[in-house]
Amino acid sequence: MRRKIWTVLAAFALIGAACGGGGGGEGGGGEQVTLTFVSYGGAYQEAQTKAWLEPFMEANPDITIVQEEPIDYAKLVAMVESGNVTWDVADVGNDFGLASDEQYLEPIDCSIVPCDELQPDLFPTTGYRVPDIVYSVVVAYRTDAFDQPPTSFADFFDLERFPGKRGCFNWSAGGLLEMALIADGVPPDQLYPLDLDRAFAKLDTIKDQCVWWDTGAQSAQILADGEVTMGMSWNGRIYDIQQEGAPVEIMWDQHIVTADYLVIPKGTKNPEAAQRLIAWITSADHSAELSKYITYAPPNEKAVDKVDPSKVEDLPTTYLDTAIGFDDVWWDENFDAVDTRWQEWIQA
Amino acid sequence: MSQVARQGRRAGSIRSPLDAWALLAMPGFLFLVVFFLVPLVRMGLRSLTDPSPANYRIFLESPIYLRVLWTTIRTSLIVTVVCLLIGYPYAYVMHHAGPKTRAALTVLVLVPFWSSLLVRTYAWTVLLQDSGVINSVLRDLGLIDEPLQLMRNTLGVTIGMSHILLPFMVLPIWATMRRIDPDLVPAAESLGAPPRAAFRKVFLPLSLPGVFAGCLLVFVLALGFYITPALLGSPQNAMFSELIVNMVSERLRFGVGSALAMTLLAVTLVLLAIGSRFVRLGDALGGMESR
Repeated sequence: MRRKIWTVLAAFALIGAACGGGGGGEGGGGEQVTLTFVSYGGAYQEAQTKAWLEPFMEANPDITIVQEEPIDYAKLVAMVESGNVTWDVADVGNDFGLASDEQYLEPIDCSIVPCDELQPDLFPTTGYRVPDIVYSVVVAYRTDAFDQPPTSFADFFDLERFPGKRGCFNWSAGGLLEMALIADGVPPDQLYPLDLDRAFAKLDTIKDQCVWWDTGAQSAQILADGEVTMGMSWNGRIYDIQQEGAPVEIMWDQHIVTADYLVIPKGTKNPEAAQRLIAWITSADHSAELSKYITYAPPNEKAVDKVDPSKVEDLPTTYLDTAIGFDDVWWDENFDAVDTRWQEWIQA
Repeated sequence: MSQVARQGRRAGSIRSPLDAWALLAMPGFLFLVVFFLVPLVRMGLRSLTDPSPANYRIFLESPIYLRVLWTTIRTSLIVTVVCLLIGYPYAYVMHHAGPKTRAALTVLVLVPFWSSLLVRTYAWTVLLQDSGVINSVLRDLGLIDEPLQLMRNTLGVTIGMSHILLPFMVLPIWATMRRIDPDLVPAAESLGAPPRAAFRKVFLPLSLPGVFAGCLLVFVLALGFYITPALLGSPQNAMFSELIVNMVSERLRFGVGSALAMTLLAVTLVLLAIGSRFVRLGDALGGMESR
């Protein structure tokens, strides 16, 4: 009887070893390579598949791409720490891939990736990430709520001229602090370092009218349901509810433009193929392909005029003259302190 | 066949614990060791070594951690009381109902087990929000001008969580009631006790183990919630788990996140220890077993 127990234990140990040690193992020239691409899932990742991954596989028969979702920074870090990296290319938000995350990433090879064309002044990088899509943090409003549409972040904070509840992103780095300072009169080029006292004082004026959201789906849903008359959201989310007939418009007169980025986890078994995929996605020829399937814009400045003509009016790159940018580097250095202060404020 | 089974069961007596029946428990035991105990120990170590035990100083750095811990305990207490107030009469009716009514009541209380937590929470949103079903009906009837604040506050959190956790209160109580000798209450009444006294002095005390078991289950499960409070409450209703997620997934400070998680675990164990002064923990499991 006891021997049976040991047999079971041995079997478990074998399974464990197989799981831990398996996976990957490619390398060598000319062999078939399997790349794992991880992104945010849903309609977004489907669009990325059609616009980039499938054409890339057709053009590169030696590379097969498998996919995972959703991206999770903690998981990526844990993979790198454990030395068992199973993701090769990851799509991350603007809050990842700068100095504090470099230890988990491979540097981007700018000899094949067109780094210079990817507007580094607007989409900051320290060499370990490049932007793949451009979107905006926007204010959207119900067209049936006001006679005159809002035209500035100041209007978002003006509860007298624009009464009703506000949809507010419950995340310190989500853009609300920047909106508050600009509404309070801070010139966009002097936004950073953020004056937190001033920002929270301004936010206090709308705090009890805020309906706080955590996910993009919620941000759009509360506008579509009429729970709020005006709310922060992301331009792609608003486009979706507009297609479903919601009486909602985006205020393009003032918005915060930002990007998603591609990174390569440190210790990937396929660094060369990963760099090739990133070079393909960000190239002037392919960067605009995504706009055929979803309202996100190309970061490559040479691709901006190649976007799907039917979506020009819905893309943030069309309104870059009214756009404000996040200072991701400042955020990377200050996130912990600001986020703690944010939680203290929002809990009070 | 049945004889074989009976023999097997007889063989599974206390004298030889490592027989075939004990072996059946091995996969479960190994699973718990590999996927629960080992990670738990590693997390405990991490909270002390990544980079140092100073991780626990997070509680001194900002008042929010203790505040949210208190919110979490308070919310769990409120939900436990609400579940008890609804669950005890419900179990009592189940116990005394005829077979058909009981089957219907059982199905009703089990339905939450069969649908996803997220779907149920969104369904509550559709009902409770300002433009939701309840407020729309009340407004159409002319009963209210301004929408009632039914969610994005403690009320919404309590409604949503109580709905999800109610089965964990009803089932142990009902299981305990079923084991009460059905002749005891009539016996008390035949000796002259009015129905109310018979209930209070005979039935209620005998059903208390189920009550304690249900309360413990609901309270401990409630401590770990965070999606429902996030969707039906306001940021002021945030639960401790949300801070852990924030620390691990957004700030990537695994050591501090581990310290927060270990603290929640320690608080849970302390509260369980206090609870176990009133009830043997085994009763909680016994109650569930006879479901």
